[in-house]
Amino acid sequence: MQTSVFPCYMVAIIVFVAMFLLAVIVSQMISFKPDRSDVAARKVWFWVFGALTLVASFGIDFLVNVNSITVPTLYSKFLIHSCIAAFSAFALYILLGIVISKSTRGKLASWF
Amino acid sequence: MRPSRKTRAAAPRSRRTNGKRKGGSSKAPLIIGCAAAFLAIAGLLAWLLWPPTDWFDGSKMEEFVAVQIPNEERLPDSGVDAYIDFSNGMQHAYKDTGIKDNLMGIVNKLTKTSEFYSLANEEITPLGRQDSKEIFNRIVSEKSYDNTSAPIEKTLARILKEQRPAFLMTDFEEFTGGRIQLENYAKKYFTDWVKTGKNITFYVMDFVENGKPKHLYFTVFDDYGQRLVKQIDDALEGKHANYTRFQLANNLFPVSRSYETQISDGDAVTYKGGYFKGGNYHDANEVDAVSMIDESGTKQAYRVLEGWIAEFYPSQAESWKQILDNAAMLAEEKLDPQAVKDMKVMPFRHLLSERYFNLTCNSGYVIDEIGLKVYDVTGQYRSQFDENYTGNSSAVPVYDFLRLGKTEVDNPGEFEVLVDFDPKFNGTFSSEEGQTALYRVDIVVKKATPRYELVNQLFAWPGNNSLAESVRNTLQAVNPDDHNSTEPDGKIIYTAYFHVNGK
Repeated sequence: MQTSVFPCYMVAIIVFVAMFLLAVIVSQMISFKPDRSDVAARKVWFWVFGALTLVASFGIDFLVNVNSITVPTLYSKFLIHSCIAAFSAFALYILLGIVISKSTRGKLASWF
Repeated sequence: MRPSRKTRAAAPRSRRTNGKRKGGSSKAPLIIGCAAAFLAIAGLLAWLLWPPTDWFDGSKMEEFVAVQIPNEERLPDSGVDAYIDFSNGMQHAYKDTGIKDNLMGIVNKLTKTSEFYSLANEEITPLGRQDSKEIFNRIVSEKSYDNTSAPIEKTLARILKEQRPAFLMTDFEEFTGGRIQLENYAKKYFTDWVKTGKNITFYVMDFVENGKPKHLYFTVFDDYGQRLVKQIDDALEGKHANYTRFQLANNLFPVSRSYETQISDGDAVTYKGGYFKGGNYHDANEVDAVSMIDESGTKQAYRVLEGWIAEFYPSQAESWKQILDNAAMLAEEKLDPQAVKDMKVMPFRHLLSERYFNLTCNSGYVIDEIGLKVYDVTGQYRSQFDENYTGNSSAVPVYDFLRLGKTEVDNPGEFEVLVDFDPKFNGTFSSEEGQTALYRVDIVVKKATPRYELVNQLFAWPGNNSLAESVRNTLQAVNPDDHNSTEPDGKIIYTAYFHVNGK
């Protein structure tokens, strides 16, 4: 019986890393445009992957870790931790986005 | 249109870009940010993966129980002593063909493993190695019975001294100085034998000596494992002579369980289905969704503690409060009645169930009342395994936590023994350590009444109450209930250990 909420956070961390990498790759793939529309596009993609971090983290946690639990108290505990993990991943995503955006000059600087 | 939009949009962006560039030359925020994120993740992992209560190791439960519940003294496997009474009264017994038949069965069974002794003329004499036929012929031959005075008391003393499984065939008529001993001479020996957790089984047969009704006894002195008793039972199986079996013991209360998932064959233990489960709650998926007992089959998991009538229930819950909350949420009234009916959900009813106990099957006693006692044995556990532990090392009684439930089942005298939460228990203990303490839950005999009527019927005959008196006094002396000074807490008939993991 899985009683540790560790997998909830593990999923969130994996999703966070994957989404962040995707955001970086996609941002890098958008080439500079003279009219600077690329900046807006990178911003949009950054927030799209941010939202996906939140949704995918919670969604995967729910399907993999929460849904099959039959212990009533454990179900609510895992549900709460899945939410916390998803929001933490989202917060970490934005935080790292801000840090990287503010400390580089390249394409990633367009995020913030 | 288009150029103007671009210009408008570009203006604020270029301001932001410029603003960023001013402070962006340093890598410090990046390093600090990443370090903070790494620390946060590492901290989280450490918190989640930190091992729970470090003093407890479930794999040591067998070692612990060995000290906790003194194992009923086990007799050696080195063979059996068989004592045959050759005093002259006995030949009348063998005129009964039924008795003769029984005797043949037993002699056949015992010759391979036993040392035979003759009791006659106040002497115990080894018969030496002979085959079963010779021994049998010697026993039933009338010529063997020109002796007097079989030394019964001397034999009982010898059985006690030797501490080997023993078979004694006699009418228990002790002659001392040419007179029949009428004192309860056997009581001391019976009591001493039974007191140490062993048992005496009498196979009582009736015969007539010179017109007087008398009894012949095949008496088996055995330990809790009852290997010799089983041999004798086998030997008598299918023989048609009437006999009544009476067991003098204060610990033979068979407790059976309907969740038999473990088959024990001596030292080799095999498990059905790869894992095994106890009498705790299980939901429709066979998962314990209330007490969260670890049933993974590992060394830390639930198991029967082989050699004792005891089980180990390690819970993976955080606390007893959590277990109680689970129980409340799975209570029958909270569930959809149709789903309960369709067995899609299983309502929680008892912490432990499916243990069966027969109150009337013991031949020596009728059990009038059983009880439940809970002890916190954390101190005992820690002092046994942790040499640096200096705290309390005795079992502390715990009240208002669990209570006994009992439901009659179809068999007369048989009950399902249930362990329930006390209604006063709210999930907390007097101290926080109580949550992860090791608890011992004993089901004990609270009141037992010796079956005196059976004693008179089987052990008395005209003019001699000596044996009946001995058996009666022994039953009193070793009474398993908690009114008796030798068993102040009542004889334990079943034990469950509970430990909540705490994380």
